[in-house]
Amino acid sequence: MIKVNSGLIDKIKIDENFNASACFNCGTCSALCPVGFDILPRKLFRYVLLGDEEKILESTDQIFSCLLCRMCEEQCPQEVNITENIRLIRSYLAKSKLGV
Amino acid sequence: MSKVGAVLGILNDNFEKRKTVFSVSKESLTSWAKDLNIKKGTDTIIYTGHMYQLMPITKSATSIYENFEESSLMNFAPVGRFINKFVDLSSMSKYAAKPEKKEEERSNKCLQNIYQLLKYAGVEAGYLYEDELYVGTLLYDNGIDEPLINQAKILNKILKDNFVQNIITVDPHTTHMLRKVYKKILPEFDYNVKNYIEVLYEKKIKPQNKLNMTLAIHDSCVLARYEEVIDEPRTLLKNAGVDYVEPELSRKLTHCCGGPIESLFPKKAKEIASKRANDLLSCSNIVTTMCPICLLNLKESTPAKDNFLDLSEILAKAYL
Repeated sequence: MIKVNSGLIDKIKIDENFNASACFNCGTCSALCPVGFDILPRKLFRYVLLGDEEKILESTDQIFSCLLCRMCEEQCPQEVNITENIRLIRSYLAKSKLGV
Repeated sequence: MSKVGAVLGILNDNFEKRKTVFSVSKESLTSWAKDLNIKKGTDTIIYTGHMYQLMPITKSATSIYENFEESSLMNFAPVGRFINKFVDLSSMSKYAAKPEKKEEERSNKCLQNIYQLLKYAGVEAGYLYEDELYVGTLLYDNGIDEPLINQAKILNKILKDNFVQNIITVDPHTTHMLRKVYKKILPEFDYNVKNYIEVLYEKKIKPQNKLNMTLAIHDSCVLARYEEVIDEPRTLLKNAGVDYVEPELSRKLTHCCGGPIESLFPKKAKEIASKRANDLLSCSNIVTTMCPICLLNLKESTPAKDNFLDLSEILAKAYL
């Protein structure tokens, strides 16, 4: 069962560049990722859009393992701002969940 | 509190309280400029952003951190954060992880090379000396952007007080932060920001010595993908007589050196660096980098450490 936080997306989407909803889940980004974590970024964006805060928290280490190298964005057919989206998710976690 | 939260908390506390993430003495930060008679301020300055100067202590501290990254000692990281609010732990790390003298000398030499190359190109750049600030890349990348607004305001005042209009940066991260990020978070932060590689390219400098060497190019992710500086270093190398080899993943498809996660996950960072270093060394036994973080991570991931050269080290041989 997923516990949904419907307000989560508003807390993360504090910048106009956040466009996770443009992702159509093709996985090109995951195939190119030098870190090699399959959660990044397509599954992660689904969790954010669904408001599955628990899954996002479980993925904290992976979210902060992203290199922000933008290799994924070079081939993204949907021009998703993947690294900026991840940076904004980090921002939410740092402020609201990690006590930074 | 998680390990990630504690480490980021320490970095954030240092930045808010001490204006940097890792304390290094003012003397170490500015010693590269000691005998160069560089003017303070002026309308065009070289801005180091402390990146080259931080690499020696980053190397020694990371090698220690790597050893207990996954140990139970990390459970005490939140305690470390509490203590760090009162005692600057990063300034004490120089005793636990003393930077190597040769690494400090090399970092200084790279900065001196860049300054001399700019001078050769006809650019008499000033310098802010101890007034220069770390720009906060590590915080911004990890989503901690609020303290940056204050840092941008402080830096903006320093630049205005010194009548600065043009900023020449020496590393890709500081270039991106000052050119794009600071302008976004503080609209009045309005300066002409260029990386030194762009300036040397625009000035069409001519080599004094033709180099007869072959090397592989490692593009920085930030310089190539964020800032689209790709052809400039190649032209400078080609004009210097360098025969450069493009690895399979190069230019806009360059492969990361792993450096951005070395503060949080040093083992993973080293795995990524090692893979990239081996790819590069399979193209040529000499490799050039354009970022001090790339240089440190790649060379430290392989026994062939001496085969990695900063671009400034090669350009200095040809143009100075």
